[in-house]
Amino acid sequence: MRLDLWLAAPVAHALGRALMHFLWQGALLAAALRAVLFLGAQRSSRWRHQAATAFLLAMPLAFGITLALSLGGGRLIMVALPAAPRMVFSPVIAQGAPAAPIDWLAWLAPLWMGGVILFYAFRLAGWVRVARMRRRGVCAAPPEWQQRLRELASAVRVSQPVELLESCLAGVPLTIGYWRPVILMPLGALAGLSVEQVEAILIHELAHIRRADYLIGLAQSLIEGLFFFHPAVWWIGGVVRTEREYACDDVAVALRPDARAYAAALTTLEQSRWPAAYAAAAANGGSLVKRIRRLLGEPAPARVPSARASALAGALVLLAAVATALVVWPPARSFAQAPRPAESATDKMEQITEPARRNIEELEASLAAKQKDIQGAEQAIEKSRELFQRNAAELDRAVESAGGHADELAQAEEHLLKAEAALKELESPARESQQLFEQQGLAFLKQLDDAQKAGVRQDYFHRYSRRLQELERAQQQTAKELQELTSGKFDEALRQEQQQIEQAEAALRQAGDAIDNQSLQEVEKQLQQAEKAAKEFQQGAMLGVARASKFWGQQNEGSLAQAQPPGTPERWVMAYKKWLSEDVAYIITAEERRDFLALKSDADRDEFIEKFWLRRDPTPGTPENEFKEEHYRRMAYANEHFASSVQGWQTDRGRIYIVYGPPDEIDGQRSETPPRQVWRYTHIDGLGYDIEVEFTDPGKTGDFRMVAAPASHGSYWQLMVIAPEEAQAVVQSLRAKGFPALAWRLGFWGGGAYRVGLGAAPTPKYVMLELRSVLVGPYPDEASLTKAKAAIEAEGYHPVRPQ
Amino acid sequence: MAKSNELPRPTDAELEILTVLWSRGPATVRDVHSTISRRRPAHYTTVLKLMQIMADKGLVKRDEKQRAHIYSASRPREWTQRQLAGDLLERAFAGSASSLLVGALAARKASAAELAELRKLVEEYEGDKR
Repeated sequence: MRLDLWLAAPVAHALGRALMHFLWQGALLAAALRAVLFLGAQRSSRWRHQAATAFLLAMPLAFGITLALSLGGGRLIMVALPAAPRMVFSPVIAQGAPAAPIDWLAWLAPLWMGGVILFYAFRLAGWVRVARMRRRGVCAAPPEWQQRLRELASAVRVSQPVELLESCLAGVPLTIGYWRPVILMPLGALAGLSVEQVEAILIHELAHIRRADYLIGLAQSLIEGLFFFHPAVWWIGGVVRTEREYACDDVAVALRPDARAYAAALTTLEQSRWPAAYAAAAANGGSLVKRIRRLLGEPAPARVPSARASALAGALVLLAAVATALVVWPPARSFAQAPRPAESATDKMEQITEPARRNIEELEASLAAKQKDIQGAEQAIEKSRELFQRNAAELDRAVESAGGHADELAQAEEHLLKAEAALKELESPARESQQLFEQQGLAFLKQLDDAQKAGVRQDYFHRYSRRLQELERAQQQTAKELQELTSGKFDEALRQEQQQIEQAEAALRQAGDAIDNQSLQEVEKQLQQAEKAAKEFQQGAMLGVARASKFWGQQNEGSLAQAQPPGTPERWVMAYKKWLSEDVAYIITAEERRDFLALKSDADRDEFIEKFWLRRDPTPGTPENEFKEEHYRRMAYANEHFASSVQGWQTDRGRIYIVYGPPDEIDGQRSETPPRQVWRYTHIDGLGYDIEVEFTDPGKTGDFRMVAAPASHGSYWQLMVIAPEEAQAVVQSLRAKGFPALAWRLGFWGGGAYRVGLGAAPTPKYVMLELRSVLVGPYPDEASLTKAKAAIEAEGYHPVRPQ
Repeated sequence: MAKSNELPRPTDAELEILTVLWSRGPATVRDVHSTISRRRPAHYTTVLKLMQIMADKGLVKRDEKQRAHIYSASRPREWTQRQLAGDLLERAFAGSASSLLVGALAARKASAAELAELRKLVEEYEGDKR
């Protein structure tokens, strides 16, 4: 839309005139509020706040009506605004007389809109930031305070649930929101004040919620933005904020009558607010000094601001007068059919402005008288402020110099301790190597991307595969050396590896030229195949090893039955069978099991069982075998507590309990659907620290089942739990093959922990690269895995139990 | 080890954990997790992992003397607050935000002179009552 067309549109003129009319309307409303507040000086702050809010809301109302009338036609304006009797505005005239000069009133509208948009943009940004404070840098307040808050909320009659949080970003107590309000207390405020003081502060905040001050504040912001040019609006806004705080103070003091404690609390909070905490440029909410005086019932000192208020009032009257004159006269000149004599206009202007000017002169005289008093007071204030600042600066310097040295000392100590720990730590070179491998992979991928962008020759993929194998061999080499692990060798390995990386990169750079789409697709196809193979491998590994024990157990039972001497009573066989497949099912090693099954006579078997327990006795030589006792205690416990459709020892919880003993912690949520239990072990030998096992009971039958792949642990951990020996074998063979990093990572394969550990999610390509590096070599025990996998699939068994 | 002024600025998730540590003092992962999960659902292991990362970065210190490791914030909260307040955007909209805030003291910060007067008022009042 062209500006000149817009300026010629009737709506622009109407807006401009409504804005000009608002100059005197705003001033009039402010003056009326002043009178109301003067008459209601003895009324409660609540009443005064409501009055000020009503006047604030009346402002957009007055503006809207004026605008509607301006758009509606001149007749209505004549009725509604007798102050402008000759102001006849008609669209017909505007359209019929295009040659008429474009009036300056129409220019006001775009300027005003620009200001409003700018102002609103800033407020919106501020609002987003406030909303963010609800979530950022907060933690729930202690439960006892939450409880106190609920009691206080019912005392203040706040019905919506209020959240009490401690915030490290809030410098002072804050209330945010109305429907789901949050009270933010600065860190340390809850502990730093007495209970009564904190309660008084909380009541103040609850009073804000009860009175919907947050909503009123938002509305106020909108209105202030709309009339940003008018001082009267800002003045009324200030009154609203001041009275709002007074009203909340009244509530706090009504419920906790110790006004001094409350005043002291406010002062303490004010003093301890951290330096940059959202210091606002413009004052709002009134001076804290005035509030404290009011709380303590002190008389206000001679009112210095009244002089300023008088000046403001004078300026408003002048503004109103000028506005009226401007609105009344220019339209008459522009649009009235009969031109007015110039003299008459000047006379009229003088008539209107004369009383205003007299008023201003009087005000100025009183202003001059009062300014002298102010100057005297200001000098005194300035002196004491200088003194205070000088003292404060000295104190700061002293504190800083003292604190600085202590900080440095602490840092040096910390530094030393860390350095020692790092030296002692045996695993750290291994970890570094792992990181190096990751960096190598990432750098390699980056090269791949670059090469793809620039375009790579047809044979690129073959070279890529060769390079990959070379890298794997390099990694194998490093891993072997790491096994022997001395610092000198480690450095050398590091250097070699870096060289190899550089060579690989150089080779890749040479490879980079043009590649057509076909070979790109080939690369993708290869990657997809690798992905598929990886999935199969993972499933196979899990399935195979998980089911291996059971598989063997069945075979063993068969052979045991065969081994029994003919004619032996059934009961006799059952006793040994039970011992093997129930009593020690989870703790007997594969080797022991084999030996046991090879035995021919009962005497041998009895001796074997005795030795079996003896080997595990932590205190050989004493009659007690603590291991055996503990084991049978765990069996009994499992049968007693975990039994459902099957015996307790056969359940998942039973198995974990028997093998690893009672967990250090159990999180049980019966109320959750499905019911859930999380067992936590602080440490398990060979598995690591902070291990969680999760069970759910989807059918609510009491048969809790281990969740196959808990969110935070992967398949490896699961293997370890189900079949520790076999899993260990898989991992050891991986490690021996030169994939220590991969062996470690299997543990976190499906879960989020691995990604969190890296700090950023690895790209799918990177994961693929790692998987592929396993798949290129023959799997150590491929035949048995394939066999186990086939057997399991024939049974229709799934690695992750259907929920 | 990084010097104090080279410590990375904490992310929002890390800031939350620091807030808990500042509020409660040195604590175990378990304590921190239970405080955080009172406000929102959180996995224990996620918290554990985050805190281990923070220990590596130097944002928190880990005391390994006991079976359950005790973590504590390595810097006072004022340090982090200063770091966050230095953000240009934070400063640009602070004024606009503060006029939307409601609270016992949500106004501008009192000047040194005003603070002195406040202290005097409270003390005078106290003296009168005695």
